[in-house]
Amino acid sequence: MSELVLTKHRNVPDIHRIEVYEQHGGYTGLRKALNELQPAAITEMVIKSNLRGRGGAGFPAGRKWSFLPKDPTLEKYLLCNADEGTPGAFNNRLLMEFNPHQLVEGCMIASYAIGAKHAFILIRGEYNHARRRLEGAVEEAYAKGYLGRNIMGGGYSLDMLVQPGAGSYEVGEETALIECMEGSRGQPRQRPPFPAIKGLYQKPTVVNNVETLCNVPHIVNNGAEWFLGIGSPTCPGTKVFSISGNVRNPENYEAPMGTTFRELIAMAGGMQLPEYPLKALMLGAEPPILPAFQQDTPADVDSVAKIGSALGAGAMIVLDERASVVQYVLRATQFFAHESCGKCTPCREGCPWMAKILTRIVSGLGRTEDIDLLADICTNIAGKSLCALGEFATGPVASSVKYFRDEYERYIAGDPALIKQELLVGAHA
Amino acid sequence: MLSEKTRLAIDTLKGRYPYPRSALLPALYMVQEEQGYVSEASMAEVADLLRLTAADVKSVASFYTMFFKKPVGRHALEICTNLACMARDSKGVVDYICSRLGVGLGQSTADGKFHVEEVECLGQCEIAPMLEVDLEPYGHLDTPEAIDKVLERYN
Repeated sequence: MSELVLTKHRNVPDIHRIEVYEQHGGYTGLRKALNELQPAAITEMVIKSNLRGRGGAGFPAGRKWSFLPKDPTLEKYLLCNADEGTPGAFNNRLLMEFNPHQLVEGCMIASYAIGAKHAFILIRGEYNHARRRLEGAVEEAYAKGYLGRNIMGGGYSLDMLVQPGAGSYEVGEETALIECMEGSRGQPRQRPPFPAIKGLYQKPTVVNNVETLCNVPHIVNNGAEWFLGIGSPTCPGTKVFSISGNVRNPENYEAPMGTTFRELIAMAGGMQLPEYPLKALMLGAEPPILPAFQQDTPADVDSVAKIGSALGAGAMIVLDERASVVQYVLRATQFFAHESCGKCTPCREGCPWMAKILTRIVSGLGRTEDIDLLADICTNIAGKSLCALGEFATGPVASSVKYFRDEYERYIAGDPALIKQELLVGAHA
Repeated sequence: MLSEKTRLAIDTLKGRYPYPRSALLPALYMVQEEQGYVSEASMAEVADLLRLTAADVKSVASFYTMFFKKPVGRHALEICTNLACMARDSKGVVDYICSRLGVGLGQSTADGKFHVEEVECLGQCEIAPMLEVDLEPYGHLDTPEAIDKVLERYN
């Protein structure tokens, strides 16, 4: 069993209470940061650890912090992205529910490092239980004097607030997250300026994912070298993988970055039914789909990028031989059509158009030219919208055309074993 | 008209943020808590309290799926049909619930008890197929009996 970092205390009763968290080493990272380290030294340490953003992009967190202006008179903000919405991702929910103080401590240290006096955690509206846990943790931290004025007597002051979202996948995009936090429609902003220069309330802002921030207290406690010793050389640390679909034990599993997908499926108890082997892996709705032959790829940011996909937020929807990949692509595309915020034409119009074409293919009314039409629409959406949602929508479509073209052809040839006519009802209603 | 208590609570909310506009989403939740949905009239009231225009408030309320813009059944029953639940036969859950309650997706039952919706991934994939009733998750709905048990809790 490899070393657990973020979920080490998962089975400790009441670890969500501040006393229990402190009995297990909680808030020593904050104490060390405030008492022994200058803010710049913490940023240096996180840069050296090469902690890469766990939300999907994999951008080095410390470098993101270093982009903020150093002027101490400028108001700055930390905004934690807890708007977990990638289909199949439920690792942030676990981290917030079982050990909210780990995240609160990570937010405190990051805020201190960047010189923020306000930190906000924007959590998706559906995560009621996690939100209550976080609010409880923030309240306990205030009561202990870990939040508020002159924390631990070191002269640093910080306020923290938990804000609910209200049902929008798009808000997980960092500039849309900022818009949502400001009380507006969750639509992305044009960049530049980047949030590091003009973010929340037009002030310099760091936006970090929940799991990214949860790693920070451990790096401060144990040092960058320790962190670099775990996981892949270019992508260190552990990752909490959300494994779902056709496995025996769907759950969150923490493993070193670079654990192969095959090993991760084994951690989840193997395939759901032994007679149906792996057909494909969806790493959320967005990343290009991995066919079974790619399951020995190490699950880290660079290794997955090398085979043309993306690690994303650590979601793994495991599909066995019973699954029609085209039907899953249709469902993913319907998701993007529903969640497209409408700001950019290629995404707003392209996603529903692809969903319409996929619907007719799955219903048995597909045309031979539809496959190339889908591929063509993908090239007209990708890279042509303000945020990555448009790009994301092309991931499952383009990859399935590449790896599962034969399945499309069987639909179009009228294979009765695949076609689902009842879909016509919804599509034409 | 919103109650005095809710109006006061919204007014207090403003002070929690560097800029009062950030109170808008929490304010709309308070409205929904009190009225069961977010009406045009209440949006105008919220606009007044936060010094925004009614159109601005409506533009925000209409963007987010968790705000009901019209009256719905007392309990919001939200069935996830996204990828992970689909792999665990969420379609069976939708079919069973719709036939058992005699409604289509996006409809409320005649007795006003349930409002049934299909929703995107709720981030509870380890218990797929699953649904939420008033944001309370229920999973492993692999059998009609398991679904019945959830519905009975709201009888």
